[in-house]
Amino acid sequence: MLFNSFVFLFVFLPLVVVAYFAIPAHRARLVLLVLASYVFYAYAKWWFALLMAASTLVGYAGGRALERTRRKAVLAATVASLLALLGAFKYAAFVGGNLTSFVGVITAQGFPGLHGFLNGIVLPIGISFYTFEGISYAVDVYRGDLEAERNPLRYAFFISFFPHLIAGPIVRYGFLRPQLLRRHPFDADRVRAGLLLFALGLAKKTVVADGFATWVNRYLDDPSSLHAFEAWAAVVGFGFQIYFDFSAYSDMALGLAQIFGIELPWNFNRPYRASSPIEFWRRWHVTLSTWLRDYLYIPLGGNRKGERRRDANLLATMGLGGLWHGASLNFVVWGLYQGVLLLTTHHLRKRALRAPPAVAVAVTFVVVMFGWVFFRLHSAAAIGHAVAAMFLLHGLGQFPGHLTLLIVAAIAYTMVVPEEWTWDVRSFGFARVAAVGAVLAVGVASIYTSHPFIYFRF
Amino acid sequence: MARLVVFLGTALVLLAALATLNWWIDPFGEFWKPSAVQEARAARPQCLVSHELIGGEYLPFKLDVFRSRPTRTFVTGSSRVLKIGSWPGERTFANLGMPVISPEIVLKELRALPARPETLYLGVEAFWLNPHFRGFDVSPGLERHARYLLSRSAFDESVRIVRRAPYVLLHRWRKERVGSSCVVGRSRPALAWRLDGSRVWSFELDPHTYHPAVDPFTTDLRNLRTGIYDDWTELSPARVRTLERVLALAHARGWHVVGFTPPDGERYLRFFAASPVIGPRWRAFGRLMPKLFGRYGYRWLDFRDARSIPCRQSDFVDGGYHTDAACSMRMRRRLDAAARRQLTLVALGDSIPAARPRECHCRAGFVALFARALRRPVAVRNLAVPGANSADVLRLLRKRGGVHADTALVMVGHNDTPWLRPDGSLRRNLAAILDLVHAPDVRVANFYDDGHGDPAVVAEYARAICQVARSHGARCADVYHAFTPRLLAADHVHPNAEGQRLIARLLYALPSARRK
Repeated sequence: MLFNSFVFLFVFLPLVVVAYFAIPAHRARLVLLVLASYVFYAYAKWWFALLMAASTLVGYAGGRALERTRRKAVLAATVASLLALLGAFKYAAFVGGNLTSFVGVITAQGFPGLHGFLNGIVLPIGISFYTFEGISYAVDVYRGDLEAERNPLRYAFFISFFPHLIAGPIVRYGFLRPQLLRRHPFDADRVRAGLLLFALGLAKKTVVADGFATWVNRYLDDPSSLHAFEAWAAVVGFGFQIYFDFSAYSDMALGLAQIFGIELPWNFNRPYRASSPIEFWRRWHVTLSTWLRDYLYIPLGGNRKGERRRDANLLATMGLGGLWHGASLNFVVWGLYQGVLLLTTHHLRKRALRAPPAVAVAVTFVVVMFGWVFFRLHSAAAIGHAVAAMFLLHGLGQFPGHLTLLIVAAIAYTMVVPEEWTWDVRSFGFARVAAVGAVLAVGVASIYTSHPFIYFRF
Repeated sequence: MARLVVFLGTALVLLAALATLNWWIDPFGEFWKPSAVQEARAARPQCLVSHELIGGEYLPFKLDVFRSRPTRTFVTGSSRVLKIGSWPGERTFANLGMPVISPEIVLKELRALPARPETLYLGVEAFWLNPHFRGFDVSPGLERHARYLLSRSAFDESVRIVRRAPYVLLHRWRKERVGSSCVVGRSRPALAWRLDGSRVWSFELDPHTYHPAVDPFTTDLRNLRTGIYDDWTELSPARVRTLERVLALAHARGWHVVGFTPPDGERYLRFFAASPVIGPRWRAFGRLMPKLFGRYGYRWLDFRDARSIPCRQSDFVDGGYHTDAACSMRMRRRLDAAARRQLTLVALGDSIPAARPRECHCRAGFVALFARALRRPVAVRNLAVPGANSADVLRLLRKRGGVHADTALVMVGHNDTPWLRPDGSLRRNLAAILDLVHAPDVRVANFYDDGHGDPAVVAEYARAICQVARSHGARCADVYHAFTPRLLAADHVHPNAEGQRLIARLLYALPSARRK
């Protein structure tokens, strides 16, 4: 089920919210939310729910076992089991497809049956997110940072809670558990604040992000026809599209969780204001970048084993982070590109090379935006066309006025206005509340032409 | 709490206003408006209905067209059949075609029609058999309606319409004159519909409006317009099955069917001939269709090459896809001629007309032999049921509400044991059966003496059958007197192959009778 769908907005959400506050018992409320989350998830395909239940079972049992015996083998088995599900559904087609193609080239024998089977694998939405949550839980229990959860209901809630199920934020159990122990009585101010944030997120997605998508797709669907102006505008436009799209989802998730009295970690903080790639990753998809730092980069040795090892660790972490986004080489390239940006920044800092803040922000903006080429375009040929166009090899071309106007407006807005989740919506008076109500109406009215969230496929 | 109410209230009031405006204006025609069509129908002379008011509601509109006329002949198919219309003064023709129609929609459409006798011209498109082709969604659900009513793009279009024609705020449509035609619409009929369901281009209404021929023909032949031939690597078995279900339905209802495929322009023909991917499928489609239609005794007219109609390249209004009215009516003439040559034949009775090979040791029973002897395209429906007596056949007919055909063959009574009550049920049942057979030519065969019954009773039975048949205006073949024991099969009950041939000959030799 999508947040920007009518069945969610007009059926699922009202029913769940009313039922939640109608039920007085805290435990029963948790049961309701877990059941609702499974319905939410199974709406796309019924067997997705079985998959999530399996992942939940593995994580819960692994946690209990790790609490009894903190053995590496148990941790490895738990993590491997969780990753096996992810690997089977997300990466089998990628690895198998590349292997069969390779063998096909060597032996001149095709494997159409195997190709067909691999291509027929359906990616369960959100699997990357709840797999990472399960892994973080198992590792935290193993490290002794967290007690294993004995109550399966609470663990099931942690994995399945529908606001963050599909596209994050990636929640750590230590963050969520204390909130699950408390009862959350109806609080009109809190519910209103949650709804306001959700409304702002919905409008940000259906009006702003999809407004960008219309123009960006027009250009990037055929990169071979691009010239310099169009290529840069399209790539920068995509940078804003994906930011507004994903941050809108995060706002909606935070708002929805707030309705039920749950606070989720924030994910974005105006990343294009960053003055370095390092700062960019402290502002962009923060729950993923901190996850990668805590569960991949640091266990690999982090920066404790010398510069070369740090650089290698950075590249490995970001390359795998790229691969997490999708089973495709372009995402790996994007991750490695981000890794190169990070280690370059470290080396520049070591040499005490620092630019004035405005220049640093501008340079960071440009290099980050350039990286989106590898994220948005999937084939080497398409990437080649776009990059060649960006470097003037296809001429300047026509100036894309509409898209440029949108980009200028987006830059001005994101540089001046703070991230929506930081707004003190509880203090909004009647006029501003009514204005957000109107924004919600516009957001709902724009659903008809809305695109799916970009991060759903990850 | 008050601010929560203000927040939700503001959103709901605005959305309600949006939905109301979109519903009233209905800019993309998502809601069926029967009163607009009624208004066009009530006008003298009758008006056309602007496409603005029909929008995507093709199915209810076409069903309304069918029901509002004494339809005896109708055509269905894609947008390429929409110029096939009525002859001047003809009220019994309806065009039920729809743009982006698929076999699934055709089946749905035909199921919604009453089972009265009809002649169907079924325009089959080659791209229907492309598994990647998707037809128009004719059954929008509640969610799609809600999405539409609450959509900003519909609102934008509604506002444009209100600006252009402010009267729509009070009257959703009005009668307007476009060129020399009366059109029920609201100021901009890009297309219009006649009340027989055929389509009128805007340039036909007003020569000053857009004509597709003014644009150079730039369609990408590799994608062939909207990608309807994209990735066509096999003839979809599911679609072929659906087409078979369409034909089976028509057959079960006793309809005449003539299948055809609309013509393609020269550029398309050249492309089909040369394309290594689409070409073989296109040719396979051409081979499959006559077989598929022939299986039900229906004719297939292959119009893919426009010259076979005959039409010229200049008869396409858009360079090679849609034919103009003149070419479409030439197609109609060919279809009418094919339909006139085609008969429907229904057979009723027991195991003798059913003619199972293991009983008669024959390849074809007398029904098939009779049909063959007609030397014309015949759609045969053999409704005979082994073991059935006259009461069973009557029950079958009552359940079906009777049968319609050009010719009906009836041979029943062999299982009406005991035979010792010759004035009993058989006469009554046979009379009732014949009342339920609606055909201009009804032929009844009495039955032969297989040696199992009292010869006097059998003779009486044979006489009684012919008496009842004649009293109902049917012809009766006297099998009783012509049949000899050597014509019995090994089971000494059923006729053998020679016996079946004899019955066919006797029935065929009868002069045809016009009744009802």
